[in-house]
Formats: sequence, structure tokens, C-alpha cells
Amino acid sequence: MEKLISFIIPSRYLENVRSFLDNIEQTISDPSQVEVLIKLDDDLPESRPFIEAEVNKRPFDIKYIITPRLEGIFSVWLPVEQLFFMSSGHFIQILSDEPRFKTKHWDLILQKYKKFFPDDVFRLRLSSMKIANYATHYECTFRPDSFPIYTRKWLELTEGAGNCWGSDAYQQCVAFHFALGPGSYFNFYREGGHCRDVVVHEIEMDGLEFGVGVSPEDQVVRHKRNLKEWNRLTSHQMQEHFSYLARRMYCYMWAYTNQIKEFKLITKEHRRTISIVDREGKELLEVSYAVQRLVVYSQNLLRKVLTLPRIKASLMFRKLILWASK
Amino acid sequence: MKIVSVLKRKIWNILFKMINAPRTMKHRIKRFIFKTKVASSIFFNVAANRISKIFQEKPPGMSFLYEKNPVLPPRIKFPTAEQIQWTKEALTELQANKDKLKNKVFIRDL
Repeated sequence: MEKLISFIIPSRYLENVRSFLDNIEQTISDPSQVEVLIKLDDDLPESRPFIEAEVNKRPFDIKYIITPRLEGIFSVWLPVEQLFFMSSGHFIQILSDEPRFKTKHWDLILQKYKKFFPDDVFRLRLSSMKIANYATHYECTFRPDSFPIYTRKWLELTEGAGNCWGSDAYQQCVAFHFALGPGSYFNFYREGGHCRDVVVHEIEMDGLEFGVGVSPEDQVVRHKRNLKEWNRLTSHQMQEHFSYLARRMYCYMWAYTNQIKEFKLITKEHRRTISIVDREGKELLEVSYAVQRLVVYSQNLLRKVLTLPRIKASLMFRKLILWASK
Repeated sequence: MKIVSVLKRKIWNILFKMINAPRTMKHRIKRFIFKTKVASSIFFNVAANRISKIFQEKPPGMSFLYEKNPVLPPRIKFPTAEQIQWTKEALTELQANKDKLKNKVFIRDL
């Protein structure tokens, strides 16, 4: 049976997980509509007895995996992807163990958003960044909308949650290219560009901030890794990948609008295009996902030059705090 | 000075020839430009692809798989051989699942 929502939570703090499960139990009206998928680390021997007790105790479904910690939060995308393929919810939310629902019976409100767009390609934005707009691809990396609720169709078309330890930044980049439309930066009139981000005001959540309570030592490491990851996400290769995922969504929407009953999305990597092919093998539409190198390169260069002093100062400040705390 | 004047004359000669060139000459020049464009675009595309392969974007948090001496975050132990093996298998399985999504046949109830 399809659940209303699946929560994906990677954590190694069992008390936080317990508190999150308590919060779900206290705020939900129909527990049978919810599924919680948890990733725990195998270096904590108390993980298994804890989670097995919770599975038996809670009125909603809990699925779990206990896997190696690897590089901690930086490799968390791998279990998140694994949990996505185990999930069955109509909506999917990838969370940390800190957010809590403030609104009671939020599932009744969420139910109303089912089929908000008939093709089911959209996401619900809840965080303090829910009304933020994005003018460049770099913005998507450092201030994405935290923990949005995706439809299953969205994540199927984007081929999972993505190989980034901040899945929200990854998906924000996809949403950015989705808004650019086919033709990417050279689509000056934004024909075929869509915004499918729905701002939700009725459901309130707490603890959507990221990295609260992280030690100064970890903060320095996170800062360095952040910069590395932002550079990776803004590279031409990754931008073209996001454009590819966004064009998959565009093609699906086109097929839905034109009432194509059965179709497949075929990628032609040498031409950098995606085409819609129907049951008879007839090609109905071909869309390019190429991203202009010059635009990406020039934006990245300009951004690096302009942000370098600030980034260096921020890193020095963090190191100073670390030195003072010692 | 002599070199400059020779060069000037040569350039003027070429330009004069181009302006007054018979149809075949113009055609040759056009074809030459077209061929150069095609050849250069192929060359730069191949070069760009080669370079992008060298600097291929590695997924984060997997440096222990790609780098000889990875620097891990504080308080995190280097993964054991079994854990590395598990990661490789998990990545292969994940790719298989992603390929399934890539090749999914969408069926719509009308």
C-alpha cells in the first residue's frame, strides 16, 4: 500500500531519533499513512536493540538500515539513496534528526496537496527559505530550501535524491535548470521553463536549520568540504547533469500534457538530448540538455574572484574560534 | 622597413585576389573556412572531453575509494577492507537501481 509520506533520516544520535518518532506520533492523525526510514551507524552497538524496540513500539512503519559510517555526514548520500529505493510514500522528505512538526494533524493538510499538479511533478517548500528565488546556479548551492517535501515522481525523474551530502542543494540546482527551460541559458524568453515549487504556509516545522551544535573543529572541516562541494556542484559537468535531470521532468510533463499513454525517455549522450519515444518506437519530441560552457565558466570565474576574500576571512575566523577554544 | 613593405604588398595582393577572384577561388576560400571550422570544433570537442575525463567529478564522502592518502574528518576512522567492499557493492547496486529509473516505461491511465 502506498503511504502518504516517507521520512528518510540518517542519524547516529539515538535520543534525537526517539524524540523525532515521539513528535511524529504526537502530531499525526493517521499513523498508517506514515513510514519512517532510518539509517544508523554500525559502529554503535546499541543501534540495533534500540531500533528493533522502536519498530515494535510505534504505530507507524519503520524501516532501517545499519551501515558503515564511512566519512560521516559527507558520505550520507549513499544510505539516503538506498533508503529512497526502499520507500513507498507518495511524498518523500529527506531530513536530519533535528526537525520537529509544530502543526498538529499535518498529514490532513498534506493530503490536500496530493495531485496539486495533476502530473505529480512538484515539491513542497516549508523552510525559512521557502520564498527564496534563485538568479544564479551558485545561489542554489549555499542557500537551498532546506528539507523540502518531494513527490515520488519528482525523485524518480531526477533518478534519486542525488550524490551530494546536502540533497537539498542538489535538488535546488535541478529546480533552477527546470526554470531555465530547454535551451538553458540561451533560452532568453524562458519558453518551457517551469517553477513547480509550492510554498506551504499551513505546516510549520521547527529545527530546519542546518549544522546547529556542531563543534568548532568540525565546523572548519565542514566549511572546507562545503567549498569543495559547491565547486563540484557548480562545475560545467554537474550543471549539465542537473540540466539533464530537469529536461527529463520537462519531457515527462510534455508527454502528460499531450496525453501520451505509454512512453520512454531515451537519452542520446553524444547529441546531449533526451527524446520521448512512444510504444511504437516513434520519436515524439527531442530536447537538448546541453549547457553553454562559456556562461558557466564565466559565472564561476567571476564568483570565485568576488567571493574569495569573504571565504578566506570566514575560514580564518573559524580557525580563530578553534584556536581560542583550545 | 623592407619586410613591412613586402608584407603590405603580400596582404594587398591577397585581398585584391579575394575581391577579384573568380568564382572557383571564392568557393575554395569558403570551403577552406568551413573545413577549418569543422576540424577545429571536432578537435576542441575531443580535447574538452579528454580533459573533463581527467577532472571527472568524484562523489563526496568517497575519497577513500579514489585518493591514495585521503584526509578524513576528525574522529572518523579509516574504513576497513570489509567496509570498502560494502561501499563498492552498494554503489554498484545503486547504479543498477538508477538505470532502472532511467529506462522506466511510463504508463498513464487515461
